Amino acid sequence: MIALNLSWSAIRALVTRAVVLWALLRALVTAVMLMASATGGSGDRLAGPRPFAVVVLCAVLGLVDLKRRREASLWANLGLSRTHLAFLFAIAATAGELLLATVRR
Amino acid sequence: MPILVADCVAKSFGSRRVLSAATLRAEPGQVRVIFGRNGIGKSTLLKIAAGQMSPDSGVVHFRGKAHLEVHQATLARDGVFYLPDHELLSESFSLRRQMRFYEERFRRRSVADAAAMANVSHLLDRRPRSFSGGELRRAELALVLVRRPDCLLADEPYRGIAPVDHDVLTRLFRRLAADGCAVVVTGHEVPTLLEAADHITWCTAGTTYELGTPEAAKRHLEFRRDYLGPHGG
Repeated sequence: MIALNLSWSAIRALVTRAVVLWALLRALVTAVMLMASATGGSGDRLAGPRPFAVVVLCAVLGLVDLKRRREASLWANLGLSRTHLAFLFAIAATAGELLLATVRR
Repeated sequence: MPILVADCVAKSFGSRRVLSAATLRAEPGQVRVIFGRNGIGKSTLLKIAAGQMSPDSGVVHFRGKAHLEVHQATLARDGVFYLPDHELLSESFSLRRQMRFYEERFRRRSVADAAAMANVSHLLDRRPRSFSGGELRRAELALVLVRRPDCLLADEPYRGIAPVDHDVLTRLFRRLAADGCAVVVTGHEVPTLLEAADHITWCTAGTTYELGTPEAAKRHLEFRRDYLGPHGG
């Protein structure tokens, strides 16, 4: 996967973005769930999306964000493919979901 | 011996065939220029050689190894740098931070040295959105200098910048070539590019012709007539 010789400052910048993206996505999901509960939603709906779905969505939205920022060439010339970048976003989201699951327990 | 060859490349977009049998060669220590009219496929050829786009047929060789499926990130790790005609630098980070990414990753030249060479030391802590066209190009070249690639593919780097910055860019391309980098540049700025080049390639009608030195290119009758015009060269 990612080459051992990394630019840690680049990875840090990307992971920070990934964590912010995950937090925003989770906040949005929570807001939607609260609205649904206020309007008398079902128990299934209140359970929220599965963690795996959040991780996949974070990876996809992360790539969309990089495209919006027009950074494809910057990262590709650094040796980071789209697969690497999606993986980074997914890793950050997975860590977030694990943390959330631990707190909820 | 060329370090990078995109050999006998064909590419169509829908029903429109842009390239039918085009070849790009990058030789260490040389600045090679690809001339050709707008829409003739120069940028497409460069993107295919850089791994940013897949060809319909043809093969890319890098350091003698054939890549039937090329990926830009893989070639970038091995020493190829693709400088697009726009959108290399991110507007989300300062120039210094972006150069640091490359300095840490490849450890080939310091940010300070590269910035001084490209005359962008005063721009390091600013974000690219505030740069002029010439400053942006020099900042992009500073990033290339930090990376110090073995092969640079630059798509129309002189476009939209003031003539005074042409000399700076030419000097930097020549400097990279002197360090052993294989430089391939496309563009339409005939006097500037003829002065910068060691070798001219003419891209026309879906294929490429190796015209040789700038002097030889100027003597090529069809190149003069079809590209340079009656007073060209």
